[in-house]
Amino acid sequence: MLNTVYWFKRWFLSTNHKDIGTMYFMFSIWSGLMGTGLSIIIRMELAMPGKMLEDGQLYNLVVTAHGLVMIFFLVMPMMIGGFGNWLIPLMLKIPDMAFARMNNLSFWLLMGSMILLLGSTYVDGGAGTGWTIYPPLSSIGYHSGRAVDFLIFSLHAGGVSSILASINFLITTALMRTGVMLILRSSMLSWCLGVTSFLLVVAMPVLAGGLTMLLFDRHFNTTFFDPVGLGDPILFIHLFWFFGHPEVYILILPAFGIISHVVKAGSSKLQLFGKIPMMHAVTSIGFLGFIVWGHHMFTVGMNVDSRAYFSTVTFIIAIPTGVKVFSWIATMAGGYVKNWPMMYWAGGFLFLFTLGGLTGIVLASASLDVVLHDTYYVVAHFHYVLSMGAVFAMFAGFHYWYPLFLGVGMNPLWSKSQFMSMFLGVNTTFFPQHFLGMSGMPRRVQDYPDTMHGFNMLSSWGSILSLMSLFFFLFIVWESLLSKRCLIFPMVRHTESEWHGRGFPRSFHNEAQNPYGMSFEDKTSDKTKVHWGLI
Amino acid sequence: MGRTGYQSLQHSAWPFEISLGVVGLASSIVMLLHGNMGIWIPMWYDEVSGMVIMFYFSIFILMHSIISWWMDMVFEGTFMGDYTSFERLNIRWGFKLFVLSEIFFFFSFFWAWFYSGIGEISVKFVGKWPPVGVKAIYPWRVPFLNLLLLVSSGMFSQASKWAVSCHSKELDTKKSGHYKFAALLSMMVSILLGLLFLWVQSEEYYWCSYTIADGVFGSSFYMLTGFHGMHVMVGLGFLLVCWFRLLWSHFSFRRSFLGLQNAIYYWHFVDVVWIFLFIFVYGWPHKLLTGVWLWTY
Repeated sequence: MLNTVYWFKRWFLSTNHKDIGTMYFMFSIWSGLMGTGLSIIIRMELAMPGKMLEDGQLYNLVVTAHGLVMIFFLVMPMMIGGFGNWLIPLMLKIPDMAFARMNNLSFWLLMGSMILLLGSTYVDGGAGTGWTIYPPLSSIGYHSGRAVDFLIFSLHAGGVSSILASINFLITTALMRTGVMLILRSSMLSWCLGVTSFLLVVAMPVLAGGLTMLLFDRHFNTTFFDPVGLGDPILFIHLFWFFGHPEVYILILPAFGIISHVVKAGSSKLQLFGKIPMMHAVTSIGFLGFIVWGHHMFTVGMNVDSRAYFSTVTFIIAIPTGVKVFSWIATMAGGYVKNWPMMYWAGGFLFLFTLGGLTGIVLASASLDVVLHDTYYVVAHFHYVLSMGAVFAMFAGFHYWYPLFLGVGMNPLWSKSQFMSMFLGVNTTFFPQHFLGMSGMPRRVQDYPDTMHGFNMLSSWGSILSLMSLFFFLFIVWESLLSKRCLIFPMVRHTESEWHGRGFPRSFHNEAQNPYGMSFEDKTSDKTKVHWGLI
Repeated sequence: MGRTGYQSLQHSAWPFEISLGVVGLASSIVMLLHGNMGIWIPMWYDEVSGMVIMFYFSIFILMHSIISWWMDMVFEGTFMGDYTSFERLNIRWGFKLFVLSEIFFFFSFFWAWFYSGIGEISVKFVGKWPPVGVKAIYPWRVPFLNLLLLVSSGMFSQASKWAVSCHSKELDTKKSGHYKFAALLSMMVSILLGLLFLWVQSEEYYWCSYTIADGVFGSSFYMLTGFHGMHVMVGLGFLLVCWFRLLWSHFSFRRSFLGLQNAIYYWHFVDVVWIFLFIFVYGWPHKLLTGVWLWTY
């Protein structure tokens, strides 16, 4: 009885950043499996011309749910809730997050958000609107059931969860650093998560406002998006993408942080190449992300000067991104690159994210985008940067820090072969989609002209390979837990502070006294001198 | 608390309870919006009552968990002394970030207001903002009164904070008693002015010639002023709690007056939003500042 009470208290009433991080990992992996299942349904439908699913609404629902689940319930929770919660207090050498209780609220609200989303898919035919939920398709006239309402509330709950978690991260990384930890000495993951959190705090409420307007249009006789009352659907598109573009940077910035750590440790280097320019690059990507939302709207009938502006600023984002990619390559140069699975994933990230970024540059040009908008070229672009950028970074971080979180190791040989098969799988899935897009295949369609069969079939085969690789990955994790090859000592230098310390991290909160032996407000020592602490 | 200087928090049930309340509230609202539960559940009362009961029960769950959380914070801070200067810095800046997120929430509604007001549809095709048939409210009567009410309310709340800052520095108990009375009095005046604002605004709503259903003008107007009113209510609740805590001497300069500070930040935020509302939502349709309304091609 007491054991049950203890279990309930530990897992439902937690204030421990490690337990909450573990819950986020389990939740995001589960959601990732659900999102993968949805993607397999899509690829099964598109494998052959003709309809597999009787109901077009169901297909649209699957497409919508795939996007929402992957973005809001896989990538964000794993990167920010999983890696962020586990690692930030360890990297900053502080006992826990700034608001330990609110941390738990963010997790449980996310769980509630998932329940509401699942509810949305079960009722009244589901929300077949695409993850962008544009009116009038999402208005009461075309989706008169409860599904879109549940979806709106799901996104509201998820938004509050993210905003609170971001406030937590910003306060922790900005204000809880010890005296010697000057802000530019923060780890790259802390910095990237800090910028990500700022983007979330500013952009999420705008989505909340847009969703509230949609809800009121549906039920309370407002006409924000209805021309009958002098409203405009384009207003929703503006509001959505003002949130939506920072959102995609929110998805990729933590990945940049993870890759910085993995590349540095995997190249046996003491320092990341050009860490401070990298930090400034992250900040500028974050800032620029707010002023480019129009590049999602090149075909709505905007002013030509506005289109020119948005194209130009979008091109500029390539510059800080290039700084980062070159810095990562330079970090690897001259180092002893370890033959660890995480480096395979990191190398894959560098190559494939760059490819995805290049197709993004193509789409940034307003004139080219007019032809390519809402085609499979866009789908290929964002799957390269997400499915191969964010997801590869998640795999890399998972393989790097798994022994820290769990104390056991995954079989490296199997992990490397799983990387190979996943690499082949995702590339086979998404590379042909570039050609499909260039030949005009639209997005979110259940069927296509017979001439496009070849590449679609190839893409579907690739998705099966990716699915099998995912199953292989689950097997590898399961085997590591039952074989219990325990970590004896981490072969990571003392510059990686999360690994530092006696043995493994404590179960609940962290050391009572920070190991640098200096007070939190270090007024006496000279802050400009480098202090090596216990190293 | 250990030797870290930060709060070492044990288990807390409130986050889990809040998530239960949120799911229940969202589900019950969706059911109420559609008028049916959508699923057959054996009940001994009718379906409408079932939904309404779930709605009120969810509100109760939420109120219970949120208020318990804040009560826990009062206990941890004022009575257990968990809130060191480090922790108070975190809470103060955390609250400011929350206010930043609220500012961007209002930003989206202001965007809708400006988009509709200077946008293609109203200017190019209809040619007037407010649209034909909508009689905009004259800004220099009731809205201006509301502006004065809120600004003065803000000043009085600030005065109560100053009274607390002086209160504990003063060693003479007779004088410090006067300061406590001053803090209580100015906070009460602040709350009363805020309540007066709400009453005046509700009268304005009642007598207004247009409703939320009157096109995008009515929609954006009531969305903006309505959410502002909700924030005023929340802010007044916060100030009222602070009034009681002032009565019970929870705040002092030497220890902390964090709750009071946060309440006043929130109140100032509400005030600033009203200033923007006054200028752009009441003033602009009446060509308040520029003499001509803004337009673009």
